Parts: sequence; structure tokens; C-alpha cells
Amino acid sequence: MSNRSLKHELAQLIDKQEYSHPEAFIKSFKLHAQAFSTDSQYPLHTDELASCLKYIIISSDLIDDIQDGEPHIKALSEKEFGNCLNQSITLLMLTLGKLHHICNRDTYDIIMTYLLKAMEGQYLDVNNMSNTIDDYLHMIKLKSGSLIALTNLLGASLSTSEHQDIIANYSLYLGASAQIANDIEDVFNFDSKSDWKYKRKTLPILYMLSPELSEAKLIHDYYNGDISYEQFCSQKDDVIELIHRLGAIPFSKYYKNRMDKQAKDLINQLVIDNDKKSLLINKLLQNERR
Amino acid sequence: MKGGNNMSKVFNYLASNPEVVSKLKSGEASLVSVSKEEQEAIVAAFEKEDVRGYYWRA
Repeated sequence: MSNRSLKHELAQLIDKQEYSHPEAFIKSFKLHAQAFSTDSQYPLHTDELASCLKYIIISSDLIDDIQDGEPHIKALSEKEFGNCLNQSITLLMLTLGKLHHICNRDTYDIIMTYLLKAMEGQYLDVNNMSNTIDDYLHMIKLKSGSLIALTNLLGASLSTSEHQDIIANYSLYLGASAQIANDIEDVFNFDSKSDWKYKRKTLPILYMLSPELSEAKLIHDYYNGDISYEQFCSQKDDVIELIHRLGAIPFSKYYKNRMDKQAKDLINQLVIDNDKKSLLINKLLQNERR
Repeated sequence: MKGGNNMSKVFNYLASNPEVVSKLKSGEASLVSVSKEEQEAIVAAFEKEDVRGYYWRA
């Protein structure tokens, strides 16, 4: 790529990281490089791959924000929006090109497989295709879990090509757990996030839309198109009261805990040293991660 | 209270009857057709702990 101003814009996008936080992905990647290594030092290419992973997460977050119509995207002019879309695609293509050079074929296949799964999950999400809890869990494992599977498999691949199925599976559960945590936070946000505005069916919202929850009529009416978004938002305090009173948060936490437990059980199935299993569990599932 | 597949009914019932959650916690009550492990998971979900994201958190 020769265009200087595009290079400059990409560098700004990477440095600013205003709307993307790849730090936890880098930590998870390095944790897997460490946990599956027989050496005490990080293997060759660790830093190079970590940078590529960072760019994948930044471009994926940007694509997600564009698809979700986040406020900082909505505020862009037509030209700025075009540039933003161009930056996300260019950064992803440059990164995949780089990875093609430094990874072996199997690792590159893993990256492409899980990136495509993440895009499939995005498709299901954008088109609001989750009508049941099972649909929703399937969608978030694809959308969120795939990026974590990519991260953790990439880290482990520096040392071994074993354990891939287990790593992929527990990563999908970790991704689902992280997404549910986000959905719980976002269900109280009526301003800057778009779950309510775009009638997204996240886990707490799917619960409130259950036919047996007749007390949540306000939410049912909004999702059925009987009242407008503005009318709905004017009763925000009532919605928040319903979320608390009808148990949407414990319901969502129950599923988050289930995802965590499934991940923990799978990590315990790994045939690696017990101290390395404990390291993974402590870092990924317990308080050390906070 | 029957559990089974309809978890939303279970949570709606328990959210409306918090005293039952306390009884489940202390072992004074139990959910019909729900395993002990599952019941503990349901009760744990009513704990007032913070739920925080990891990977997508600033």
C-alpha cells in the first residue's frame, strides 16, 4: 500500500483505540502461548502475531460498530463514513496478508475459519434472527466466541497443534459468557447503545419477551410496533423497574454462569499440567481477570 | 415449582417470590424436577454480585 494519507489514517485508527479495546485479547493470546509452551519464554513470532491479532480486533470492532449504527458512526458525514468503512476493510486485508506470510497453512486456516464464523454470527445478529434462547446462544458463540477461539488457538499454535478442539470449544463458551455480560450492562442503556433502538433480542430482552411475562406489556408493545421508540424511551424508568422486578438479570446471569461452567469443565479436560490448567481457569474465569 | 425446559417461568416465579429464593438457599425448599446442581445454579444467579465483561471491556 503506497498512499501516505491512508497509511496515516490507519496508524491513527490503531493508536487511538477510542472504540476498541484489544488488550484483553492480547492477554488471552499470550496466556495461551505461555500455557501450552514447554519453554518458559514466549516462542518466536509472539509479538508479531500479537500485533496482527490487535489489528484484527480493531477492524472487527469497527465493522461491528458500523453494523450496529453506534452513535460515533452515526455522527459521521457521508464521506467520513465511507472512509471508516474503507479503513476497517483495508486494515483487515493488510493484517490477513501479513499473517499469510508468517503463519503456516494450518494456523492461517484457523484464522480464516473463525473470522468467517464471526462474520456469520454478525449476520445473524444484524438481522435479528434469534427468536429463542438456543438461537441466541448459537449466535453469540459464533459472533463473539469465534474471535476468542481465534485468539486462543493462535496463542496455543505457537507451541502445539494439539488440544485444538477443546481450546476452540471452551473459547466459544468464554465468548458467550462475555457477550451475556455485555448484554446485561447494555439493557440499562437507552442512550448510547442501540439494543433497544434496533429492537435487538439480547438475552435479558428475550426473557422479557417471553409470552408468560404478561407484566412486561410495555416491552411487548414496543417490539410488536404498537408504540414508537420515543414513547418507549419516555417510560424508561418503568422499563428498568420491570427488568429488575421480573428477574431478567438473574435469568441472564444463570446462562452466563452456565457458559463459565462449561468452559471450566472443558479446560479441566485438557491433558496438560495441573498448574497450567489452574492458570487458565484463574486468569480466564476468576477474579484475576478483572 | 416445576423447572424443566421452561427456565423463564422458573425465574419469573422466583423473582416475584424472593422469599422462596431464601428458602432454596437455606435448604427449606426445593424445586420439583430440578437437580441439586441445577437448583444451586439458579439460586447463585440471584446473588448480588457484579457482572462484568472481560474481552470487550475497556
